[in-house]
Amino acid sequence: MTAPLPVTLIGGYLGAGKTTVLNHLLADSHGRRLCVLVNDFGEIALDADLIENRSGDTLALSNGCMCCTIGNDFYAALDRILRLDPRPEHLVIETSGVADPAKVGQIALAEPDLHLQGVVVVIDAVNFGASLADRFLGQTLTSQLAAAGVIVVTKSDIAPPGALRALRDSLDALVPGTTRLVADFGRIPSEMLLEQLPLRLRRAPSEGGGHHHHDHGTEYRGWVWTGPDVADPAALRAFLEVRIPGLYRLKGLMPLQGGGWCVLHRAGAQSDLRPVAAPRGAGRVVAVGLADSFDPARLDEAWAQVLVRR
Amino acid sequence: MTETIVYSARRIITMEPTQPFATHVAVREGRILAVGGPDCAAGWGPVRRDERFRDAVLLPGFVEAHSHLMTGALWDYVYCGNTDRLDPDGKLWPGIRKVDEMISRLRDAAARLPAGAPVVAWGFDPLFFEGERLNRHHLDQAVTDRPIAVMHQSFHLMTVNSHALDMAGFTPETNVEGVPRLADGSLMGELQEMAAMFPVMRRLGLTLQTISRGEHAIRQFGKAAVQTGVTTATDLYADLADEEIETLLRVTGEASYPIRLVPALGVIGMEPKAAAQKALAVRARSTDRLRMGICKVMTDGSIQGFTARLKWPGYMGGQANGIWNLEPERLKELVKVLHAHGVNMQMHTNGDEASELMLDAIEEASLAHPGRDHRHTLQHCQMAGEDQFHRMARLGVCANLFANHLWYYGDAHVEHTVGPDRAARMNACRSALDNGVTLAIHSDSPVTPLGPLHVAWCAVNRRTPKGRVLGPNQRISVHEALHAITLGPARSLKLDADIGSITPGKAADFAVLADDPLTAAPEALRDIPVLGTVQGGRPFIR
Repeated sequence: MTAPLPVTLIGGYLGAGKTTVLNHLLADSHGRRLCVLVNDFGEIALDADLIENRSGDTLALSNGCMCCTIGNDFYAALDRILRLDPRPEHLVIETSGVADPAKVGQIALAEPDLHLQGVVVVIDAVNFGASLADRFLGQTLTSQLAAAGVIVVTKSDIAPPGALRALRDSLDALVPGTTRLVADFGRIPSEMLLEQLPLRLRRAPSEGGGHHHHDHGTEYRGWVWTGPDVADPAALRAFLEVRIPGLYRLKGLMPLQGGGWCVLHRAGAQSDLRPVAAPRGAGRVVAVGLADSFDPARLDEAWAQVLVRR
Repeated sequence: MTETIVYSARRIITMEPTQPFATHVAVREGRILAVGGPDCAAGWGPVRRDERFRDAVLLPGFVEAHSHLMTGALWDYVYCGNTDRLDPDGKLWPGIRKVDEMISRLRDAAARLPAGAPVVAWGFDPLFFEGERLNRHHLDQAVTDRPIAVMHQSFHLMTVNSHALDMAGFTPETNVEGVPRLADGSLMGELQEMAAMFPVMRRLGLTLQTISRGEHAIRQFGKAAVQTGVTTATDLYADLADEEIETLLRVTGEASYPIRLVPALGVIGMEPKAAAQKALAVRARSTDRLRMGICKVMTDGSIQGFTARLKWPGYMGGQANGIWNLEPERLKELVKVLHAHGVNMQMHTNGDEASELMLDAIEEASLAHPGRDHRHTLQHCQMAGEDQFHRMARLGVCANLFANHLWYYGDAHVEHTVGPDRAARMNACRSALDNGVTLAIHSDSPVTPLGPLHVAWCAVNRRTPKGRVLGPNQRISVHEALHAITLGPARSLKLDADIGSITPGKAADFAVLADDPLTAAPEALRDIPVLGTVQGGRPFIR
């Protein structure tokens, strides 16, 4: 029997930015063969050169990913995907703006060929308050939040400060324990959505041996680098020691100058660097920081010291 | 010259105020030429007299304005409902009320199937079943060498045997919502809601799509309609893909096809303008027996499933408010665009918050395009109060109320969902009529069985299985109920120029009954035998 297909749900109300998040997910070179199940292709504005071919309800992408529409029957679409040979490595389902992801998640819990990996709910910092107060909508939004393993907050860069404060207060009251990710321009490193991130974030501090007060309701911000460059081994070791305010966790796979690959990890004050067999594709490093204090530009700067152009 | 046939009847109930009753009707070219006494067609040349309905009572052919095409081909599966019913071919299937009866029916069915083929049954209603709740051990007594799936009448639940549980990978460790256990902790075999049913359904190759479209489904639906006196029926959520339209045109165009079919284009998920254009394009391809162009808009879920959108105070048990099928703002946009294009909408609204949203949407759409005879219809509209009926009348909105619910779910609504006061005003036919709203009533077949006389019986008596009369002040007369299964729904579908009453010029569509509903006891309305129909002048006698 083949292993169950991991499923990540991406929910959230209309206009929250789900499509942008999905766009980045499909275009990102994370090396996974994703299948993204969406309501409508039309809304997904994929780069034309990324699309390899289109047939009916399926877009095949040059990076090995695919995008399918749900069509009239969600269950039929799901069945179709489960019959694909080879099966995709990960299924991402965009739930409708009014769906309760907890209900959709039940399908992945009940079906032995599926494994529910995570529930991501996208909210937008500009409009969330008004939607929450809407008599036809409020409860739809609160049930979506209640189902979320991770909340992705979009448009916080353009939200007025008052709205942002109100949003945080609402989330603290409604879902105090749920991790939040701040998406800059709707962009989130794929790893933060596809891996069991909340578990990792909670586990990481105890690896360091102590309780961490950021366990609950904290906002994180992601950072990702991918490219053809190689790393200078000495600079890489130094990089793992550099103080970067707010950096919470970092990991990556990098080709080294002089040959070979390494895997690098950094969690709190702990770091680790060891050789690894060469993977397919290019080097890639992903980091998570505390939204308030972590400045991605600062990490860009530090990381640039490591890179050697090929 | 075309032949004129004069049918005599014990009585003809016309639904026309000018001449409410008659004894003869003259038919020419599939239409009603004249109505009245034996000489009603005297001025129209020679006639042929046909006495076959001499002892029968004729009504306008029944119009089922909320049903689904799968009603017919569902009979390909094994019927396990509690009442005696006729299948589309007129074969009587006795109702099943005991485990022993269920076991023997399933065993018989298995014997007729190839080895290993799954046995799929439908129509089971635990409410009307004696003894303990059906579980896998009961079904295991029928067969163990193949899977059994017994779909409940509601389609939201099924009970399966151990073989099917094994196939789906459900084990004693399974811990999923909607997969209940027996007292000993083992799995019961009941699967509640689609998430829990999906693993079984896909391994059994069971999709409702296969019985919802295609030649066979269309034919069986027509035959099922004839059994219940229906001459015009909706398929109230159709995809209407090009290929499907070709099939519909071909089958309904056959000389023996017995009904006028009214598919409603399902528009949820479509871009509004594209939906409007498609509706107009398919409307242009309509024929007499295939009337396309209306749309179906879904808003909320069901009351008994706690997924309908309710106004305050919501569900009695404090359940969260229900679900929307589409974002409210997108629903409004859809209504606005379809209304602007002159497309009729049939709107699924179970809860009163859903009907409120749709009335808001229609009001806003009417501001931009006022004065249209749009006939938008709130379907189900089960919880509307006086305020909403009044508003519907002012906005020109029709109501198609789910009267059958009063019988099938009435007790549950009193005890579990909304409580006695709001249950008493559910499917408030009296309020609709008194406020001047065009009223239709329906079965939503196969959700409840196709049969307009049963629906009318519910609206007249408002009885529940436990003996309650739900809201006696909302009862309507037998004549009003008959109107609500003939001319009322014809109006709500904007087909009343052609059908719905027996008057010169309209189609010769009749329901042929063995007894007179206006002289029979109102309590016995649902028991009146249907002998068949005449559709477009063509008799279809069972």
